[in-house]
This record gives sequence, structure tokens and C-alpha cells, in this order.
Amino acid sequence: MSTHPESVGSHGYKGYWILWIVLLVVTMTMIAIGDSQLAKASQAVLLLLGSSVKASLIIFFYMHLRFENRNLILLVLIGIFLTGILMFVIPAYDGTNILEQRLYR
Amino acid sequence: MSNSTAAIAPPWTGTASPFGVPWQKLMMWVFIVTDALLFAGLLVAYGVVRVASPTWPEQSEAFDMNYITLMTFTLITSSATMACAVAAAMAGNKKHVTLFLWLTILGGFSFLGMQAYEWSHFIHEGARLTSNPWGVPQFSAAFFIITGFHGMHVTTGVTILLVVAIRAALGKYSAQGVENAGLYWHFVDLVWVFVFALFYLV
Repeated sequence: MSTHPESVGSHGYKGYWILWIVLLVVTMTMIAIGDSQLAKASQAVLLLLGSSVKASLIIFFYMHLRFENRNLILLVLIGIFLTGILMFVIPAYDGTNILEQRLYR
Repeated sequence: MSNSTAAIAPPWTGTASPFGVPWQKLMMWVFIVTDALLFAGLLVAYGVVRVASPTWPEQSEAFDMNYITLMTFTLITSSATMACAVAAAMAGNKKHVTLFLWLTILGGFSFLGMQAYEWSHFIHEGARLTSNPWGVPQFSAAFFIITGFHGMHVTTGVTILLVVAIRAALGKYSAQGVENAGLYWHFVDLVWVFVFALFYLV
């Protein structure tokens, strides 16, 4: 906080409401993807991408991570990277195995 | 410090954090990262259970998607008001800090009220932790565990915000305290982004 008062305090609130509109637009796009006739796997990938975009906007702009010290940014990014592995890689592996077992059953 | 000591001394002398932030804020970030891993674990477990299940109910059969969208809209809006509260705290504008904090609390209570209604509606339809009318027990189990866990986080967030708002109204707040509360609140919004996408939309 004390490391970036000028970067937050003097810009007013306009930027936050612009970001709010962007987040709503991304949300509406994600709802449209969820309503579409795409295959569930494609929907899941697109929605995870949309969620990642929204999460990044929230972390870097609402949570002000972009103004922080490089060490803190790295700490958070490594955590996000591990979370990403957990969310994207492990389900993909298990999901593929389960689907293959079902196909050959 | 002598020259010889300076040559072998580590860059961090113990007087300032290498992360450039107060320890409270650093610990909040560490907490957020670890809690994100916990939610990721829950969502992954849900994903594996769902893929392993031969059938899965269409969400539109069980939920009113317009209602869920309104819940999402409420939480995103409360995140925007929270960001404004932090900016006001940084600028030393006590009146705006109090105003935006109360707006955020209003958003939090609205979300919790809507979630309580959704739960009661779901239970009224026959959903339980181990069974439901849609024939896939894992469906309601995942719903109750994931949204319940998130709801507990929202409840905690609203409680923290109430304490900060009351202190702000009394003029006892610190910009650091408001920012730490804000970090937690944004995290709650961030988790909902993934819950909304993976549980309600896919």
C-alpha cells in the first residue's frame, strides 16, 4: 500500500469502473459460450481462458499487484502457476484416462 | 557497518521486507495464494468426479441462470466499490472510504441473501448432500461443498468489512487495514469467477 499511494490515490475511481464494465463484458461473453452448442470440452477450455483473463484483471488492477515489488509479484505468480498446473494439467490427465477407460469398456 | 561486513552481509538487513510491503500485507498475499490452491483442489475434484460420472444434469434444469448471473453481477460490483474504498483510503478521503465500504458490505449481504435463497430453493426441490432428484448424487454434493465453502469465505469477508467500516466511521481506520480487507474481498470475487464458469456454465 505504502509503496504505491500516488499510483492509486490520485487517479480517482474512473479506472475501476471502466474495469468493472470490462469484467461484465467478459462475463456476458462467457455466458454466451456456456449457452452455445460447442462441445463441453471446448466450452470448458474457453471458459477457463475467460476466467483466467478476469482473474488476471482483478489481481493486477483491483488488487494492485502491478504496482508491487518484483519479489512479491514473483511470489504470487509462482503460486498462480502452481494453481494453474493443479487446475489445467491434472484434470486433463485424469479426464483423458477416465474417458479412454469408458471408450474401451 | 564496516566495508568488510557490508561485503558479506545479505541485501536484507532485517529492517525492511525484501517484498517491499508490511508483513500484514505479505501474509495476506501468502494466505490468498494458499487458499487459491485449496479452491483449485476442490474444483479439480469436482472436474474429475464430473468426467467420471456417465451423466450429469443440465445446470439450467436445476438453477435459474438469470439469478446466478445476478449474483455474479453483484459480486463484481462489490469488488469495484471495494477498489474505490481502497483508493479513497490511500487518498485519505474518510467520507468516501466509509461510503464505499458500506456499499461493498451491501453487495456482500445481497450476495449472501441470494445464495441463501438459492440453497433453500435447491433443498426444497429435494437436493441433499448425498442424493438429489436429478439422479447424480455427486451433483448436489459438489454444489453444497463448493458454494458452501465460498459462502463461508464471503461471510468472513463481510464480517471483516463490517469491522473495518465501523472503525472507518469512528476515524480509526488505516489505509493499510482497508487495503488488506480489500485484498481478501477481491479474492472472494476471484474464486467466484471460477466457480461460476466451471460449475454453472460448463
